Formats: sequence, structure tokens, C-alpha cells
Amino acid sequence: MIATAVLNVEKVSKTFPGQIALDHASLVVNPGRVHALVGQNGSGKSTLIKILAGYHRADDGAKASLLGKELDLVGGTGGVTERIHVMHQDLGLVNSLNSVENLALGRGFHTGFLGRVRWKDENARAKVHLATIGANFDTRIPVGTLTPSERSLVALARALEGWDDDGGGLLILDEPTAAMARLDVTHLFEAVRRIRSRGAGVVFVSHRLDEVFEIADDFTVLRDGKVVASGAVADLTHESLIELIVGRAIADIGTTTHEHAGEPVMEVRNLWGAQLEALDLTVRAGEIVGFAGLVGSGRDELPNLLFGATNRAAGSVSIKGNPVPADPHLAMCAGMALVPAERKRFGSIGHQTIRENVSLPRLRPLMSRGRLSRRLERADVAKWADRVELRPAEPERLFETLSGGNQQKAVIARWLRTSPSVLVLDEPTQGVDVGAKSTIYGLIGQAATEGMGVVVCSSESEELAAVCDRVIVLRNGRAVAELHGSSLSAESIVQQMLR
Amino acid sequence: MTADAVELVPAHGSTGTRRSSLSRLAPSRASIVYIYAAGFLLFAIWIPDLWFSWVTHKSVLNISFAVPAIVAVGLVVPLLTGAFDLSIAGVMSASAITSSWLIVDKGWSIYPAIGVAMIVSLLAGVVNGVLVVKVGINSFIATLGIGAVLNAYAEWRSGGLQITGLPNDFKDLARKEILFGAQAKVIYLIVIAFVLWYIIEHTPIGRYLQATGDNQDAARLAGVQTNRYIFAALMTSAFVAGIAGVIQTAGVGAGNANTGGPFLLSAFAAAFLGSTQFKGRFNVWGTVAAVWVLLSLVKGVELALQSYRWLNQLFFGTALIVAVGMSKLLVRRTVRLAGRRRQRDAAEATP
Repeated sequence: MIATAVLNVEKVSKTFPGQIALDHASLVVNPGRVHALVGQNGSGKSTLIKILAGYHRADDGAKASLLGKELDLVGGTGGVTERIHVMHQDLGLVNSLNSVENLALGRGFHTGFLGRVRWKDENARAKVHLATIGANFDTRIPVGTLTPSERSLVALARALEGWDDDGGGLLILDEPTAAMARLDVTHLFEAVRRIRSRGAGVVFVSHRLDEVFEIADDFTVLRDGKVVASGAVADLTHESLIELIVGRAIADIGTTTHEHAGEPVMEVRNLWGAQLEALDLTVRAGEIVGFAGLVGSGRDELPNLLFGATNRAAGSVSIKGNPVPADPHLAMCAGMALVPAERKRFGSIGHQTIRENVSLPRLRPLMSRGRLSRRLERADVAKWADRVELRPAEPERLFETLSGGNQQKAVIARWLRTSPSVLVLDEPTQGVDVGAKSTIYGLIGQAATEGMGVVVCSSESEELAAVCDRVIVLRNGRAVAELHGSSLSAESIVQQMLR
Repeated sequence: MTADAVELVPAHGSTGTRRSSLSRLAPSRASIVYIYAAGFLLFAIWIPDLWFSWVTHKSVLNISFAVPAIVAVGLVVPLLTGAFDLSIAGVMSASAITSSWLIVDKGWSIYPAIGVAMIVSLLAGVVNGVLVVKVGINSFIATLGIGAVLNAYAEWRSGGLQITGLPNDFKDLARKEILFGAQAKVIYLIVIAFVLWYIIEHTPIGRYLQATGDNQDAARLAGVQTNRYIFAALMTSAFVAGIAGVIQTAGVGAGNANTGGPFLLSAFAAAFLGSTQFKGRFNVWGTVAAVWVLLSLVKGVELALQSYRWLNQLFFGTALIVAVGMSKLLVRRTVRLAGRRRQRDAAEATP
């Protein structure tokens, strides 16, 4: 390849407090090539993208050039240039406006006399623009009514505004297909190929490996913030790529198996959700069951379906023979507990104290002489803070002032305090530091030892492999595999998830 | 459903922990006490003769204080859950006209008439609850509409005229002097405020109301029946407004189709000003104190400048804006300080 690289970055590091997200990463994207950037959650992919897009600043020492011109990633303004466009998964379109208006929003409308929008011009421009990437649909209807692939084409067209002359630049597609059906993906890829043929460099981030093989020319694998491999996709096989992504050295979190699983505590029969299809599940006392799956596989909606926080399309859930209605309060009364994902939004009340957050589901036992006793409440919460190793163990602290790990411990304490029969955890270590992670794994194990049935839904395969007795893998809404014993490993989970 | 809750984020202190009860009287937490003291001093110098007369303060207590304070403490309950209730004025008018119409025009005896007025008020609360919780209409919109419908009912029922000729027994319900020259309506206020204070501060219900208002999604996932509490809160504010309508009618001695009108602004101003006092969230005694202080200041200026009708509107309108503005600024300060603290922690973590 003789032409200068579209993008050439070297020695990009990024340190967050207590964590190295990127460690001397490098990436070369050539013109007319699609470059796949792959790696597990937390491998540093999104950090790298965010540095390129100008959201984060790189640590000192990073070098970068774009189309031969130097790019300052350390100063923080480097990424902000017309020649880098990032298309995020959520597309950033205004659904109530039509394609023409969405295209014009970013740069402003072309106006004439008295500020009147020149609609004829705008419409013609938009048509031409969309046609160059192969889009052919009614540009006058709201984008909310378009198909997912058509919407993604509008977003693509908008990203390419101003590239008409020479077609050069860097286009970053950040998991564009995560919520897309197969047919839509095909349409999107056609557009990406057109852009490639115009000489642009494309960075493609995806969890779906068959898509990598379909669209990408080159690849870079990140693991724990480091580049572990880079080269041409043609030299890869499915297996060798998975091996590169997962790596051999899987962190030992101290696996404990609960072979002595007891009586069934939770029975799920023919459960349907928006994505989940016909799930049957029996969880026994003292057992930890994991659920793995990509976004959209049904894994992310399963916890809320069990707890009744979202409506079940069909099916039943029962605990020890008693049906669990689709209502969080009644599910709680039936003996279920849910530690939700997205702590800030769903798991906690940030500007209330730890005490109020922990005691909330169960206040009656804290009544004394007709009133809620602060004394009893403090003592009870202090006991639980101690049990989950909360730091600092100050019940009167505001919840939002704790670190992510300690917030999560407090949410777990809230639910352990209700002594449930079934404990469901959704992404239990999301935004949690390493130290707190092992404490949380310990708490999960202890809950099982005490006889609870535990369900863990997680996007981290290593975590599932280490914590769970068995892992059920969901793909396109269906349970496609159950892994346990020697067949359970981070690799086997990823393999089943991506197939 | 309660997207308006964003507006209601309470402003806590900035230390990261909630403070002890002693520091509740610090100037930043009980500014109203200091405002009152300053006003007291001002009028003591400006109009000493009038200001140091018992009659002045007694007239604030007996004439202007009780009814707006009752409406305001009732409003605290839905505000805690993040729901607005703009129908309270309409409910007051409806209950005022219903009770006086039944007594004067229909010749009912007092208590059954009051009973029907309370049923009408509760029904209004139920309709609000259904619209907000079941249908999912924003509480601001739903209660605005229902309030207007109730006003229309009051106008229609009264035929646009005052309903006069209420019996003295009825008037005495509000006016009778019971304790140290305080009229009965002040006693009602104290009883209602005490009951609501007890429920909000000392029973699990208070916690559930507050959790609902602070983060409805998280509260629901913590097993709190958020919909039930929003519904009950709207019924409470309507019931209390109904009581206030009857008391106001008895106090004035006539049924008026616009009984509730003037009390909407004062209730919101007092509840929001009260929310910046003592606790950093909506609370009963902060609200009662806000009504007392604002009305005393209005009275002082009224005496000094000899009665201006625009004073009430000016004071309560300003108080509402200042209170909400203050809590906004406090939240921003808290966020800034928390950010700085995290920065410091991070700096310590990575030497």
C-alpha cells in the first residue's frame, strides 16, 4: 500500500483512577480498507474510540496522524476534525423529523429571502447525498418510521456531509449492527462498501465475528488495554480470532462449585418477552445459574421479566410453587430480589443516604411503638454495611458519594437484607473496581451457600465462567446452549454467543 | 408520568452526609427564621406601635394564616412523590359551593353537607389519580384540567352569586375562639399538619412517598408500589383542600365560587419555600413556617404602606421563584463540590 494511511496512531495510553484502560495501543487504518476493532467488554475498544472522537484525552506520549497531518490526542482537541466521523449505535437522529431535515440539522439549513428554507435545494441535495451510498427511499417521511437499516443510512449520509470532493477521511462505526436484523445489516454493509471504494478508511467495531469476516479487510484485537494482534482478516479463522479475543490467561477469581444444589426454588415456564422466546428454567437452592448473550439476545431483558418489572408476553414464574405475578412489589413478597443493571437510574436513590437506600424494601421490622425507629434502622444497616464490607461504612453518607464498587455492595446489601429465596443480579460488576469485584463474587457465592437460588446475567464471559455453576447462552432470544463442568469456560461462552 | 419530578430534586447539604438535627437551624438550612427575624426588626423600627400590638399578630393568625397553611401542607404530599396538584384551588371552590349550597338552598344540616363536600373532594382526587397513574397523563396537565372543570362546577352551582345566609353554627366551626384567642381553624391546621408530619417523617409511608419522588424507577424496583403512593398522595391533597374549602366558607360566612383561586399560588410558594428549610426536601413544618413568615411580612408592609392589594401576589410570587432558584443553585453547588471531592480522591489514588 503506497498511499499514506488515513489514520496512524501509536502509543496511546489512557489511565483512569485505579485502572489502565489503554496501554500503548496502536492502530493503522489504510485508505479504502475496513478495519475491524475487536475485543471483549473492557478491553479498551470504546476508550480508544472515545479518544479519537475527542471525548477523552490520551495520556502523554501518544502520537497520531490523520491523512498525513499530525493529530493532537493529548491536548484534547485533536479528534475534533471534519475528517473523523463517528457513527454511534444510537445514531443520534431526531425521529420525528424526516431524512432531509436530519441531514440539514448538523450544518444548518440553506436559506433564502427572509430566512425561508430553500426546500427544493435541500430535497435535491439530500437525494443526491443518500443516493451515493445506495439509499433509495422516501426522504419526506419521519426517520422514526424508516427501517433500522434506512435509519443507519441517514446517519451515515449525515456523517459524510462535506466529504463529497475527495471522499477521504476516517469513518468510525461503533457497534452499528448491535440492534439490527440480518437483512438490515446487509443493506448497511453495501453502503459501507461504497464508502470504502471512494477511498475512505473505516473502523468497524462489532461483537459479531461473522460480520468481521464479511466486511473487514484488516483487524486489530485489544485485550486488557493492549493490542494483542493486528493483521489481515484473510489470515484468520473463526477459532483463531476467538482465541485472540479471549486469550489464554483467564483471571482466576476463585471458582467454587455448588454441586450440592438442593430443591428447586424457582421454576420458569415458557417465558416470552420482547426478544426472549420460550425460556424454561429451573433454579435449585444453592445453585448459581448464569446467562450469557449479546445485546438483543434476550439476556438484557431477562432479569426484569423474572422480577416483573417489564411485562411478560407469556409464561409463568414461580417460587417454591407460588406464582410470581408480573409486579416488582409482589415478586419481592414472593421471595425474589433483583440487583438491577444501571445502578444510578434503577438501583439507587443517589441523594438519599446509604441507610435509606438499604432499608427501603423492608421497613416494617424497624417499627417500634408506632413509628419508624432511627435507632433500629441505623443498627440494622450498620450490620449489613459490615457484612458486605462497605467502605466507608457510614450509613449516613449520601449514596452518590460512594465509589461504584461500594454502591453496588450497598445495593446487594439491600436485597440480602430481605432474605430472598431467589437472588437475580443483572451485570453485577458494571462500573466496579477490581477489589470490589472479588468482594461481590464472594457475596454471590455466600448467598448460594446459604441456600438461595442465584441467577447472574452478565456480558462478561469470564465473570460467568468463574462465578456460575452452569451458564445458559442466549442467542436471538433462544437458549442455545447450557455449559457446565469442564465444558464451561469463557471461551466456550463466547463461542456459543457469537456463532 | 412524573417527568416533572426533575424539577423537584431536593438540595442537600454539601458534606456528603446528612446533618444532625442541631445544625438544622444553620442559616443555610433555616433561612426563613432569619428572614423573619430581619422583618420583625424592620417593622419594630418602622411601625413600632402597630407591630408591637397583639391585635396585628392575632389577625395574621386568625384571618390570613390557617387556610393557606392547610392547603399548602396538603400539597406537600403529592409534591413529595414528584406529582403536581394544580386542582387544589378548584377542589376548594367545589367543596365551598357544595357545602354552602346544600345548607342554604337545600336546607341540609351542617354535617351531612360537609360530608358530601368531602366526598366531592375525594372524588376529584380519585379522578386525578386515575388520570395520572392509570392513563399516564402528566400530573401538571391532568390536575390543571380537572381544576378548571371543578371551577366550572362551582360557577354553575352558585349561578355566579355568593351563597349567603349560612347558620351561625356553621360559621362557628371556623371562627370560634378556642385556645388563647386562636380560632378553631388554627387548631384544625395544627391537627392536619401534625398528622401529615407524623406520616411523612415517622412511618414507612413517608419513605415510600419520598423514594417515589426522588427516583420512581429505582423505587419501583426496590418493591415500592409507586403508583399506589402517587394515587394516594393526590387523594390526600384533594381531601385536605376540600377541608380548607369548607373552613374558608365558614370563616368568610358565605359560599363563593372563587374560594380557592387565591390559594393556589400561596400553597406552591409555601411548599417550595418550605422545601428549602430544615430538611432539604418538601416538609410540613417548613411549609407552615413559610406561610407564617410570608403572611407576617405582608401584614407588616400592609400596615406601613396602608393596605395594598398587590402585596400578596408580589410576595408569594417572588417567594416561589426565589425558593426554586435557591434549590437549583444549591443542587449545582452540591454537584460541583462532589465533583471536586472525586477529583481529589482520584489524585490521591494515582500518586
